[in-house]
Amino acid sequence: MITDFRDAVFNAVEEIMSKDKDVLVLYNDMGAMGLDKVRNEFPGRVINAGIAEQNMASVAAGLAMTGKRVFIYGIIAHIFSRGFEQIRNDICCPNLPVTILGVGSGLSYGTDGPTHHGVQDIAVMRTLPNMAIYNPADSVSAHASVRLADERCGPGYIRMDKEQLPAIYGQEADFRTGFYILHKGSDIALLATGVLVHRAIEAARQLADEGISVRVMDVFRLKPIDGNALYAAIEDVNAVLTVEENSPIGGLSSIIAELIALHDRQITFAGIALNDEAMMGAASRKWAEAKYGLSLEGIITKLRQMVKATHKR
Amino acid sequence: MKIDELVRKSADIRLRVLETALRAGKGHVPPAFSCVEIGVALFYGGVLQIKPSEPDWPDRDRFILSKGHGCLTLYAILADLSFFSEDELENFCGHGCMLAGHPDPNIPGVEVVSGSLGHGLGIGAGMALGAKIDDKDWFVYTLLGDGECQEGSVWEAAMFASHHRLNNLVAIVDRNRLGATDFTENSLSLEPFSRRWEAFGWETLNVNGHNIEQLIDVLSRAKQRSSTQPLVIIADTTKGKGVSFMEGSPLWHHRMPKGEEIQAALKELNKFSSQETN
Repeated sequence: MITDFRDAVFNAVEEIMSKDKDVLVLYNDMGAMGLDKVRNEFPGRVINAGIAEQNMASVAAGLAMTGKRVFIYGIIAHIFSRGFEQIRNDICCPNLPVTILGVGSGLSYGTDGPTHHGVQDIAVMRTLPNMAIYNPADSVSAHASVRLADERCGPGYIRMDKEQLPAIYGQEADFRTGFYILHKGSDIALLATGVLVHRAIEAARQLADEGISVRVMDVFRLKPIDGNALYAAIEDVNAVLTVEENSPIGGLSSIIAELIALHDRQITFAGIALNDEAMMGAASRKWAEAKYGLSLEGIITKLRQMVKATHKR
Repeated sequence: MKIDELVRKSADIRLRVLETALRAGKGHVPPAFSCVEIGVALFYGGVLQIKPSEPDWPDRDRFILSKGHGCLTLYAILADLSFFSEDELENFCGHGCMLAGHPDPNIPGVEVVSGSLGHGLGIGAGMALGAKIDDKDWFVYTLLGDGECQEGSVWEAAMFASHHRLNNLVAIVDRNRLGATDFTENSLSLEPFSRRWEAFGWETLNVNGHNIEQLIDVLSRAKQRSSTQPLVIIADTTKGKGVSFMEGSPLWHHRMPKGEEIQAALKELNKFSSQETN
């Protein structure tokens, strides 16, 4: 079973390219083993656009206007921000089939310093019309994200983590609703996205032993959200907690808070995320988990508190 | 069309540009005036292979107005060629109307969204690469402002185009020497401009950007070349060309004529136009 997000994503890209000659990949001189494989198989259709992200996005748009479907690959921190105006104007305004494959979600590159942290992109990319955002938690959903983005035939953005993680999903999983209930429960809903889905499942398992029933949901498509289906999946619980390795602004907590606010029902709500601050130095995941309460212990403690408070009410 | 007819066409387009802007009370008139002959040469001089009745004809040459603020000239030309009704010009910048202050591809004949500078050449490079991959003969012509060439993304695209030998990509730079508030050489100097393009691997031609005969000559040469380099045509122009008090003045970027200036401008433009306008 493939556990590397990039391998899974480029396997899916390879499958699409083998069926359709009008699919191309551009990358900003950033490597990946999966990419090497695709380049060897389709040498003329995988182009190193150099360290020039603005131009890469514009070129992708131009290619898409000639009937191509284009994947562009690079590190999240650079690809979404350096070429943002090109993504907004050139790709999203005319609704072109360009899928951004970003590696380095959250603190994947945490110890590489603040320039490499992928923690603001969700908030920013969410504002773009026509954009779909996928934040898979394992290789199966990563592979499926590529297919879903390509079938949509519009602007897409897939976030890839650098961790090697075990598969959560079986091959038969259907990802079209944009979220999955991975652990049944009725006391509280714990909504996670990306790598933290794994920890959310573990927290629910541990709390089950204490008699606390946690419903774990993986929100892997962050845009568009199927608001009706997602709200229906949480409306019977009294408390909702979101966890994400991301800025507290504009990410999963914002998405869910916005959804809950649309409905006339009091639900106890909290979100665990990073802080709205530049993390100087080597912000490793282990360090950040302890500091911001994203560790297994931190999530369990928060869940206990929220369930207790809800029962009192 | 003969050259003297194209000269008159240019005057008509200028007049239409000014009338459209005056009616709306807004618009970038001087930067539209500087590229009128370039537009006329491209659209009426037999350079662009296009079909007004079929704007999305797959084998058309692509024209990208990268200096989107010059759109009044493009709108006037597209309306004149019946890409859309002339009535649309009367609604320029009207509530929810098709023609905004910068163009988008919902307008028949417009290929890309522009208005933010430094995007068109990269998009054009992508289109030109797409044409190469598919073995298509059509060309991409991208009109840039000279101030626009202060954007770094222009030079990323310039590197990409020469690296990939996109000799089906033509950049035309409207070298009117003015940005929004000052001369380019005062804000962020572009000279030695031609040598910079050459250093980026482009075949570089200089032309008088108000001489239609010269423009048609160099633009038509693009498809006959054997060079593998992309081609840039640096067109020396005058911002505000056609109205003496606007010409070459840093004050005139998106300023609108007022009071007596209006009659003075119309009078100057009417001198060369084939139309009777007040």
